Amino acid sequence: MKNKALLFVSIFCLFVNLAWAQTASNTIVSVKSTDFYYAAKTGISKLGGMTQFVKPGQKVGILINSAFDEKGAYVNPDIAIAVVVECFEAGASEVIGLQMITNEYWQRSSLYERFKDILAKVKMVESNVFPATYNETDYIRLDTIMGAKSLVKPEIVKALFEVDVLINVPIAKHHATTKLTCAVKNMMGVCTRATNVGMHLKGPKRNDHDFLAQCIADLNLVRKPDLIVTDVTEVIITNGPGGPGEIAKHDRVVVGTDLVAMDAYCTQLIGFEPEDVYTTAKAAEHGLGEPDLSKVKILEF
Amino acid sequence: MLKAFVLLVLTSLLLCSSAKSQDQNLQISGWEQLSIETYPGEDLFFLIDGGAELYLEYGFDRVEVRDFSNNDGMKIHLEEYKMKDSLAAWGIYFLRTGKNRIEYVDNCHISIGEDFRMIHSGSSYYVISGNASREALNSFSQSFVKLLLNNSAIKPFISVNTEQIRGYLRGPLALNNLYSFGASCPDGFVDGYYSQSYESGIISVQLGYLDQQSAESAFLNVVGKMEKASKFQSVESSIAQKKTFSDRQAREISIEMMNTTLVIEIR
Repeated sequence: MKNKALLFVSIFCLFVNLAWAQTASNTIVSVKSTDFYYAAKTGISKLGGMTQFVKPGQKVGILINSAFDEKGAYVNPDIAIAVVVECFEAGASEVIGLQMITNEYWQRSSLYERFKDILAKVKMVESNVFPATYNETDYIRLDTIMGAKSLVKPEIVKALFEVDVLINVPIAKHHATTKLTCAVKNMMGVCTRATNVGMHLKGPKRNDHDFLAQCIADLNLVRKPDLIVTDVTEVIITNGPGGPGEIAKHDRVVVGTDLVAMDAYCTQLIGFEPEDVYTTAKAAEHGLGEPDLSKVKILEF
Repeated sequence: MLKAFVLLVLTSLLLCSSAKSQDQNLQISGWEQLSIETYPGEDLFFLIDGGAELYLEYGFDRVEVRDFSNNDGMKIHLEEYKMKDSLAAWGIYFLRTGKNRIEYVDNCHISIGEDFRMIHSGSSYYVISGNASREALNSFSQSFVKLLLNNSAIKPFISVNTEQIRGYLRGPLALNNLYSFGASCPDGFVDGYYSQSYESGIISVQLGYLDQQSAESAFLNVVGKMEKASKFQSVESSIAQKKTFSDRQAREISIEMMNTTLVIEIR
């Protein structure tokens, strides 16, 4: 009798988990607020909470687009802080910045003093700072990527394969060549500069849009993020990726797990045309997510 | 005789090399130059994190990066982008300036950002930034501009008329930076000029073609692509040489062919 009850509870839990997984993978939560820390926390909570993604004792890798100086060109640090705090609160044993995050970046947040002890616990792949160069300790050269069409032998930070959970934290902004840089393109942050330059220059012609987008989509085959938290608060919509550019103020933090749907939604949100963003289309061709937003549950708050 | 000749050549080489090194060491009062690095051609990708392709499209030669420090321990970072010509330098400078305040000192244009200064002079575009106070940044920038103006090698660009200041376009990447035509982007133009009102948001662009035939071919090509693109909707027009479209953001884009020029207005 006891065994039957246990079996019943186990099956019930399995169904609940499956139902949640189904919901999370097809759901985008978009929270509007001028308190960006709150917006990020709320977004994660509405998607089921960080505990759905990070289990106690797990190592979490975070990839934050933080390395620019102009407002609207880097992720607002309040959002990144919310992600870090959530990870530790969920019981993460380590939070590792897959790309170098400087203290100066954290200090741009008015929340820095409040959370500086937690932020000090974030580890870094310190050699992954622009222009990152290959070293055997921190990087690995992949001979092949299953299903890749254009990207050859990328040099990628080893930590990407060592973390249990990957959280991608991009900003949705303009980019001179790819039009949009968001979650799909943010993955270039795990590569050496030589690999990224190759994506620009090793195509049929220099800076070939199609080739570049294909390489970026190929890179995303290496590892899909478990969670994406996108900054669409104040973003540059011209003169990207470095700016200064025209700033669009949307005051939204968008949270989801579907790489393609997230970029498609953010494209629409900042007023770009989906057909101009090749990276989303190429990632969809790889089966990395759902490009048709009518098939995605979008919760806007 | 041969010995004297060799000696003469060696002496000349030595003098040239010391002149070059002097030229590379900028004398800015109160600041000491610590280092210089040069990134030629496509090496620019290793200096700029995103957007290097735009410089290459305009015509990029090399960039020289210098670091300075002063007695108070402040640091200044100076980048000189040597472009192929003055217009290329102006084009990049004006694109990068955005809404920043611009000041004019003789023939130098200086764009004032919160913690950086950008300068256009001759065929170079300069960026001054660093870990320094605003006063120190200003003082360095002023000294540097004086140095530029005293340097006879720097040729004046144009006499500045603030009422008619225009940006310069070279290539579709730059044009797409202003407004996203996407796959419909006009191509093949020799050069282009634009003005942009940040208040009204209206962008006026003039693209110059080699001859009328090229302009007509470009006009038909662009209009044809825009008519097929789902993001644009054609608006009725009674003039054959002028077509108007609206995009999904309800912006109106008119394209008119005038002799060897395509005139585009986005409002």
